[in-house]
Amino acid sequence: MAEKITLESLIAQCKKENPKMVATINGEEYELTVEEYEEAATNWAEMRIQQIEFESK
Amino acid sequence: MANPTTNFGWVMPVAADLVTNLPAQFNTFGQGVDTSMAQLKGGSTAQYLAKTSATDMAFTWTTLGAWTNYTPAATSGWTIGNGTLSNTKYAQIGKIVFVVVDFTLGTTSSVTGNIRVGLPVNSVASGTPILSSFCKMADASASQTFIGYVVQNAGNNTSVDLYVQRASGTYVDQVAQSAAIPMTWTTSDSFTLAFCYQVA
Repeated sequence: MAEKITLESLIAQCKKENPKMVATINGEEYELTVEEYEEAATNWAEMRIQQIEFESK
Repeated sequence: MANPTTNFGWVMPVAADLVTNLPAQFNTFGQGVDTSMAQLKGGSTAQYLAKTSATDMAFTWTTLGAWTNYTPAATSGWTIGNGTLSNTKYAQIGKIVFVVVDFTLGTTSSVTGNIRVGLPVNSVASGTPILSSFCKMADASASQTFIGYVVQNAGNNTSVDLYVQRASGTYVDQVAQSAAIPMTWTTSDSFTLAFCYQVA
């Protein structure tokens, strides 16, 4: 049986797949700070939750 | 002619001066002119002189409309994550600012609502009409591009929001871009903005 997808599980998945995050800004690589990393993982998970809900309608 | 000169105070020889003193007096005069004109030196092709303050002869050579890279604040509705901002820059000419923003979502980038993009320079007032704008939102997987524009929110003078043109009914109308409009945003999707606005 498939595990229920939750915000927390998506955040964990995002972090597992991306131990660090590097943005590219006008050609220069920039590693996200801890706060930015946490925010990106959380927002990505929220986006996925919204999309899953949208797709299930 | 006034001596010293009216505007710059350059001291010139006078009729009663001895000829033998003329070299020194021309030296003084020439040095005065040289000092006064110092800020006009330099510059390069196609540059213009701009005042650096209200002080007389306070100038600098500048390139009109030179582009400056900037990192727009992801104020709300989107997160840069490991995405790519490219060709993202602005140029100010007087009280008009021109902006280009090009963002491609990475695997951890997100769009969770109406994308609000920070301005490089605060606009003249909250909710000021944008002078001109263009916005392109590209759905990479569907190879489809949607057209929109940016609007300044009535509540601030520091950012702009994305809107999409909607084909509905007889006329094309506007709708705020969102997490599901004009498409479900995901990796490799992108938006490009080009707009100009007024500053104080």
